[in-house]
Amino acid sequence: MALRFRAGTIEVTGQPTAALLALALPSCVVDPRIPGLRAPSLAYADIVLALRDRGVIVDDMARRYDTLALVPREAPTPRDYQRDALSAWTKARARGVVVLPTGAGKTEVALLALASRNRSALVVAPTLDLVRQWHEALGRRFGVDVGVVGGGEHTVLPLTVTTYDSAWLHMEHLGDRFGLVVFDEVHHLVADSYAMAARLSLAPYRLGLSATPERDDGRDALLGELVGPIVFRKEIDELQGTFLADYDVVRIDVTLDEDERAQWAAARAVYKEFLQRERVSLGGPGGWDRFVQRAARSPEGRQALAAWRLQRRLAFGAAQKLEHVDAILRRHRGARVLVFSDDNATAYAVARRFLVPVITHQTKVSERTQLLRAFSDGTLPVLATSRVLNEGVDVPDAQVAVVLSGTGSTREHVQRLGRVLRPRPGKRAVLYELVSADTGETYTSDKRRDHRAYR
Amino acid sequence: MLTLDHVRVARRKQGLVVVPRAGLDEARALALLDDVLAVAREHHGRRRAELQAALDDVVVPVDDERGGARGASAATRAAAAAKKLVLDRCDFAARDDLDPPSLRAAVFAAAAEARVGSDHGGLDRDVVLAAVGEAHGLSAAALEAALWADLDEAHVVDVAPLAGVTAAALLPVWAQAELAAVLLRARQIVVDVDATPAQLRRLLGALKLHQLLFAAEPLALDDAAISGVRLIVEGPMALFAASTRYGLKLALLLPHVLACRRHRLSAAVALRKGRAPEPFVIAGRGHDDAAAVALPPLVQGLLDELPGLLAPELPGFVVRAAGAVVAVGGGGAFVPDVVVEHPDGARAYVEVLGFWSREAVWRRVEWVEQGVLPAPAVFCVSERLRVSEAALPDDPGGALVVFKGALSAKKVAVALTARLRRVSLG
Repeated sequence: MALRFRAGTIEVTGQPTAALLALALPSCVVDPRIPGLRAPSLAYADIVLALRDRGVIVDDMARRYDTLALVPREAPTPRDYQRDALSAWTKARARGVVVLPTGAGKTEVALLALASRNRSALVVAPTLDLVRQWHEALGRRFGVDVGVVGGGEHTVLPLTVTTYDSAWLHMEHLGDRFGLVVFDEVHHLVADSYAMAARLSLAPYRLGLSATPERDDGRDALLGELVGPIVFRKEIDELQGTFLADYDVVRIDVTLDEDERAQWAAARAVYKEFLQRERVSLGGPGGWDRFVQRAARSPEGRQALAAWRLQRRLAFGAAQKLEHVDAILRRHRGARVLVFSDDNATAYAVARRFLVPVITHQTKVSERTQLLRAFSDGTLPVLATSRVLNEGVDVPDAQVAVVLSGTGSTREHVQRLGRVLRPRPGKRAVLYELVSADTGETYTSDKRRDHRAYR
Repeated sequence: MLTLDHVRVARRKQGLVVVPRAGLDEARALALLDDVLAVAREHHGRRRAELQAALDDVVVPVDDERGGARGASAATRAAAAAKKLVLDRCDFAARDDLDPPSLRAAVFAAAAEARVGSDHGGLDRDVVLAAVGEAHGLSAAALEAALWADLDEAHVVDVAPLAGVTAAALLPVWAQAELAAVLLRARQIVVDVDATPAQLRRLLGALKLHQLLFAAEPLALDDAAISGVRLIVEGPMALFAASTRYGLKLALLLPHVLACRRHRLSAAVALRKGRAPEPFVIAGRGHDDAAAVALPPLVQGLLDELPGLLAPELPGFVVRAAGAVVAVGGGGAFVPDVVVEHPDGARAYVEVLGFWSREAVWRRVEWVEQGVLPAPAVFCVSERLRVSEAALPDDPGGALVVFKGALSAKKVAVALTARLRRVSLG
């Protein structure tokens, strides 16, 4: 009997189909084209275990990953909770999710896992910034060349880093090359397309990392199937003051100026009237999708959608917010300050007004690297960004975060707070949240603060 | 490439049909394309954002006859499609006489220093811009304009690829792009084609390139002039979950299908997530492929030499160029180059794999070992593929002939004779 990897699936062949079926192998279905059985690669480990249980000798041509001899070059002593996380993951057949707050050393847990498994490994991260960081961290720790797939590069080595997008694109070719896959910011994985990447990989060992695995849409339930259960968890308040910096959260209500208020009210009236006429409730389940669908059907609908965008832009980008940013930059002169916005236009507006660097998806990797280095060493202590620095980016010792605008996502807000929580003796971090009073942004702000980190 | 946002799809009794140009009649479509092409050409050398804004201002041709919301929506789709078709044919590049990252680095560094040096932590941006501008030989205003010149919206429009492109030439491109857009949401396609060997090989090559799985069934008897095959194509994961993941790959097959002499493509298309798939059919005629008429020299060499080499040992056998897909038991297919056959029905195939992948060779070795080929086959493989003839030592179902540079017709004849004798005797 033989196992083969083909385009993200496992083919089981070598015996008559009836004999293969009699083995009752997990997730396998008959595929007359081979002829034989076929299963998603995700089921590879279960199939191998089942064959072993049944005493079947198999010619395993599916796995093409190597056993490595990774020797850590500089290994800091793991913190107790990092050791506990690794132990819990190992006990769960090296499949599962570790939940730690931003800044608590999730990367270290993954590096420990890589060394403990010693198999060819793929790290999947949501952004090119994170890919760059993982590339540096793996190279530094193990002193080996590290491959990159994504951002115009395609070098596959026993240790390789890629983005979720590239994993989705290439896993059907690469799914047999890695025995361990680390999914950084694993809450992204459950999106339909990204989940497919997990299904196309045969890696028996899987580690998910996240500070905030729960999703508003409930799809985090899929993580159990794709990666494994949550095997270890610590929250911000459990580590605050010891492994994370103490912090304050300051919400500042700003008011729209007269002109902004008038435009805001007019735009709001337009889309509200449309919603009322179409009997669509934005707050209800599926409300937003219904609004977009109905809006596409008529010029009035498209005007209503444009009006909704305008009133949101006005609330998010109130002129007075920039005055507050000015005051905060003066107050915290010399401190490292991250200014977050919901959209690129606002991030660039901050950059233009205050002549501070900005990082968006359009910023090339080389410039990002330089800017983050200058931010880190204090040469350029203020950095504006939209969403790309929300999560994961290793920005040591930022003290101040300013949230100019954002979504209602608790996860996003917790991640932004996490950007300033790396500990340092005597450090007290602060997150300012600027909210346009008497607009929908107040509700958005209340929604995203619904987390124990803000209580 | 267009997406479903650019296409109007109607439901008819027989399934989904594309409403050409989202309902815009040909005259108005030509006028629209003319407008869009003119706007693009006017913006050669200007910023991308300006081109986008100007294209947004191109009058949307509201469908007066249909009227109402649907008409307006359809016309909007047509306009968006026309703009996309033209934009896809433009190039965009950052100005190469500026170095915005260096300018930004200088400005940010100067601003950071100024802020630290200031009594109140504030910043006089005009002073900073003037100082940095002077150091780079630019006015403050010019510096500010250059600072972000590498962002996408500031990229310079180059319409050189539009040279010679007319509205009329874009109409068939539009039609094909609309069909491909629907296939983006396909879960499975069934392709019936009558094609030249070269067209079939290109189609099978595309299937392999995209790692799509297919089952092949012959539609007509093998014949020198005509051949027909049904290919049932889907992605490997389609067995486990209905998914449009392979839609892009299925859409990329379309040009190869349309090129076939006669073709009928039936797709199961889920227009929206969660919606049950609906049938979508594309049928028509391609063209006889002039390039396919000339056989590759290696194949022509076999056709020239094999009759003489085989005649003494295999009287009555005819050697001719093959013209059909050969379906393999249990799935798979290949297109042989040469058929050697006897009027009583005995036959064997020769396929020249040349510089194909090793995987393709091993697949054929497995077919022989599994006995799923309908007739013996000799596979001629370049030595560059590092495959040994010993992989198929003396199998009645097939043989490997490894060649370096020139292919020995004599070796092929020996392999064929050994196998066809057994067929004749057996």
